[in-house]
Amino acid sequence: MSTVLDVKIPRLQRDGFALKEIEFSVEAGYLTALLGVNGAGKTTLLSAISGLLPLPEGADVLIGGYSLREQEKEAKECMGFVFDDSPFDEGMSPLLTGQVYGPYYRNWDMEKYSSCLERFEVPKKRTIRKLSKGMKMKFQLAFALSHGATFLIMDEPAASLDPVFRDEFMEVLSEILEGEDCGILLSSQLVSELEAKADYTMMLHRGEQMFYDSTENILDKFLLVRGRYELFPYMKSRILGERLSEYTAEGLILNDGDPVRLDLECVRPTIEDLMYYIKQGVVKKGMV
Amino acid sequence: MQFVVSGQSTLPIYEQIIGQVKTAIVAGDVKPGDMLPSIRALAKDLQISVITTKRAYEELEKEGLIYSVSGKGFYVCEQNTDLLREKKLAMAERHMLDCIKECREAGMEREDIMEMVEVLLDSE
Amino acid sequence: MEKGRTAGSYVLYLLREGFYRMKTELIGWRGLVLLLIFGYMLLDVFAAMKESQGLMAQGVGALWLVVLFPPRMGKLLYLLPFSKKERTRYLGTYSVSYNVFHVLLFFFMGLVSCLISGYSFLLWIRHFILCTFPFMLLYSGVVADSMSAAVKRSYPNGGLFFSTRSYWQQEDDPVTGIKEDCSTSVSGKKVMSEEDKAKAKKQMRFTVSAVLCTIIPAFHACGNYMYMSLCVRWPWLLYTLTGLAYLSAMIGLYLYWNRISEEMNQKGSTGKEESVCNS
Repeated sequence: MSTVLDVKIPRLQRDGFALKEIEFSVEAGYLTALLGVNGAGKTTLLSAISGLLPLPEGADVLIGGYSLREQEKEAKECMGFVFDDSPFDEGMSPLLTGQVYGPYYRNWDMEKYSSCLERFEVPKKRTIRKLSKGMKMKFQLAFALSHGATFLIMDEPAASLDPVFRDEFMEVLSEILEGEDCGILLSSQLVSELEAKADYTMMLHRGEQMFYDSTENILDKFLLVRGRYELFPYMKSRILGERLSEYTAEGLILNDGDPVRLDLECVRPTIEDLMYYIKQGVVKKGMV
Repeated sequence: MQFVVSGQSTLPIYEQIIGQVKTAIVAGDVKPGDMLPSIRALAKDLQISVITTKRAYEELEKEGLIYSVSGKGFYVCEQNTDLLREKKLAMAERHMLDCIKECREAGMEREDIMEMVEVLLDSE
Repeated sequence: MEKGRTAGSYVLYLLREGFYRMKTELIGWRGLVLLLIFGYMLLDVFAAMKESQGLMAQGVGALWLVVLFPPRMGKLLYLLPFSKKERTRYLGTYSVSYNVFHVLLFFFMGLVSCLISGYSFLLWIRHFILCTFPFMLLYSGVVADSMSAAVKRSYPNGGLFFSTRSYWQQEDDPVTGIKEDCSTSVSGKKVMSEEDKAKAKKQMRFTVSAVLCTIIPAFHACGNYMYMSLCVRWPWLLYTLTGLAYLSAMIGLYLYWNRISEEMNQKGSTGKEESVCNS
């Protein structure tokens, strides 16, 4: 399995905000979800990875094996991008965009681009401004897929799409991953939709890498206990954090194999649940 | 065979898959030697992570229910009939326990439960 | 299919984009505005024929033309596979072409107005070189700067002013009360670090100088009635002011070029320059 992205950022400061100790990678054929509450630093990290922010000393990003610092051009040849706010000129048509900007890529394939647009049913000659949000996304994806990119970076690609389109989009991504020559890094707030599909999860919090592992491993490490709140004191030492409402009580504990009282329901948390507790501050970095 | 997985269930998805494969084997929906969908194809079809399907298959392989042929895929093992029966019995026992629990919650006594079982067996 | 990039193919791609850009500038409502500017210039030339004083509107026309819509390449400049050298070349070619196009367009409008009115084109050009060109020269710097700023980098506001936005956007953790940023003062309020104060000062200095260097040529280009009549009366005044305008334009260009270089050659910051911070 080839690594398409390798990120190592000990520290990156920007406008009073800092990314610290980021170290993770993305493999071809797998989807890595980049998650975190608002303000956690996702956009900053993605900007650094895609070359929009300069990397400081000691930090490096390898795309397709090429260093973004030393071999910027080759690294960017391997990268395809899809952003919620498209960086392309909205006054152009998809066809013109391909004709003008495509050839800057060494392996640009105009036929593939054309057939991709057809497959996605994106009108080739209409100005991008007049396309629906979903079409704009698909157009970006078509562009990203037409120059032999091995790494796809996506920042909230499905944020403004309706649920039907989101499904379609995920299906296309599944197809891409099936081919096993592309790896995808996708940041999204639509955590519940992404959870089942994400092979790996990179959780960012306050600029720091909370954890990075396969989604399965991460969720295995925790358990949610639910039941009557009066029973919680028996587990007090194990309960990391609580979520209480009028009728239910829920607590997060580490899944270290110790048994839980039978009258408390024990379930595996979802990533969304975890994020709630992370925001509370009860989940620490070393727990996963 | 068909798979149905839900993100809403309390069971993790890989366990749901394991459960469904087991049920299919026990019920005879898949026969020994049948090929299961590949890890990637199943992941794509169910729109889930390939690591999840891999985990499910690995667990099934560990339990001796399926085996893998490298380069080809996963196949259902020849099932030991005794083992199969044991598994069916275990499933039945589990269902019964659930049943008894419900009856108890409804306030039924031991005699009431036995009576109900007799009635249902008679009407079979 | 051309693979790789030879010098010839590079020009070809730029041409294609160039045609698209030209089309965008000339068609639609921008085309209408162009016609307005042309109309205004025409009237101005006719007026200049009658009274022998400067072409007052030429400057205004120029200002309208260039200030209309500086191009913004945006993130694409940094997302496409350019090496730094290629990026600089692309940026340079783009900016220069954009400005040359506008100057030529302007000349064309001037030529046509002169042909229609009978005013001497040579005089028109003379006025252009003396009064209008300094501003257009300066503005090419603004164009290049606007194009090179892809993401808000060392200039948090991305524009002319330093913003303290980043300070009140970060909150303390409500549960643990942990203050993340070590530039926090004891009282709990966020305070600007020394480094950021220096940045703010620098930004302020740049803004003031840039504005000054823009105002002088702009004023010179479309100076009012009094200004123009004085200049016509005393040529030495005209030449001095023209010199001043060119000087400002040069300084302005230098300032912008400096900022663009800084922008393109930026090294990421680890923030370790903060001695107060122990993380």
